Amino acid sequence: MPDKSTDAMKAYFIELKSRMRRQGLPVSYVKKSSCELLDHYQSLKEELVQDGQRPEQAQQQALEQLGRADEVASAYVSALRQQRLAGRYPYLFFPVLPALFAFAAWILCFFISFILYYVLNNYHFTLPSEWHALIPYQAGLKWLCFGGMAWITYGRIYQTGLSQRWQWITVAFFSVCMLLLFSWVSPPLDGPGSGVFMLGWLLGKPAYIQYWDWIGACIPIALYLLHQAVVIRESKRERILTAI
Amino acid sequence: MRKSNPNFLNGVPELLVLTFLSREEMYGYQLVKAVQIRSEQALSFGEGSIYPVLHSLVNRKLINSRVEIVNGRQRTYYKTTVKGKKELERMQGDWQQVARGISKALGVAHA
Repeated sequence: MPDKSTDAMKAYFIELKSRMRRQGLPVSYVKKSSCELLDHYQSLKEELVQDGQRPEQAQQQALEQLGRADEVASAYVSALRQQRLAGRYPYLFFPVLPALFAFAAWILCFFISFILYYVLNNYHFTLPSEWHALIPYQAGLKWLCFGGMAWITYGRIYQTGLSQRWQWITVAFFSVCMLLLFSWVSPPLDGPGSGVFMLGWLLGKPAYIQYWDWIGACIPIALYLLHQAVVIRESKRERILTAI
Repeated sequence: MRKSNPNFLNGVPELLVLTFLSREEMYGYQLVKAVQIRSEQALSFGEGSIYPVLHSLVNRKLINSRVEIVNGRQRTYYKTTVKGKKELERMQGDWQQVARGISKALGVAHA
């Protein structure tokens, strides 16, 4: 026959971990914190048993003394947010950090492109012919850099405590930043300059954005959805384990 | 279920934690018990909420931590650093000033 108080303990910790993860706390931190809380719970339980309580009662009371799972999770989340820049200044995070990350992605891409350009133009005879076939695809490099930075940015969004709507605005803003930045100021190997066309658009002339760029601009949105799916899946899996 | 009063206790957990950990190295459970005994159970809070406070103080380098395995369980011990002791002195000064002010406002004697 299953022990109800042990089930309650498992359910408590699973709910706690699930709440912490859903609010964007890092997995390693959640694990470390759970270990610490579990030690606290066991110490409490042992003391209550020594005081003469039955083990089932002691388990129940130890959980009550630990505090409600949602309150404890909130305390962890707010403490961690206070430690992070994004958490202390959530509305500064929205316009400044995505723009900075977008710029960092562009710088990264610029350097990689520059190195590629240098290598391909000076040492092309040493490279296998297959490498040259890849040259037309190097335009995807910038979106690779972009995707990486977008992923880092979304890790920070959760730490801000911003509402879902503001998170989406941040994602959209990040996309626009990247589209403007990469279309306007293209890295050296970017082919017949989309940058020129974007500049033309900004100056009121007919605009043309390469199809690559439109596809690339969807990357942050796809990544954000994926990021959310990963977190939700983890917390759902933990809830299913509770039910079992 | 115990109720906590987080707004009223704003800043107090840090003061208490630094005070107790400046006297000796403790782990979370030990620290909570010490606070309850010394305050004669006057302060009630969800005991699990003490850990985010501890982690925040570690992050600010006001306390340091070390992990030990005790009876097969992982246990983290905390102790106030030199920087933490200086911060404690400042916080105690602030607290006394506030306590004096409130006592005067309420018209009661301040110990």
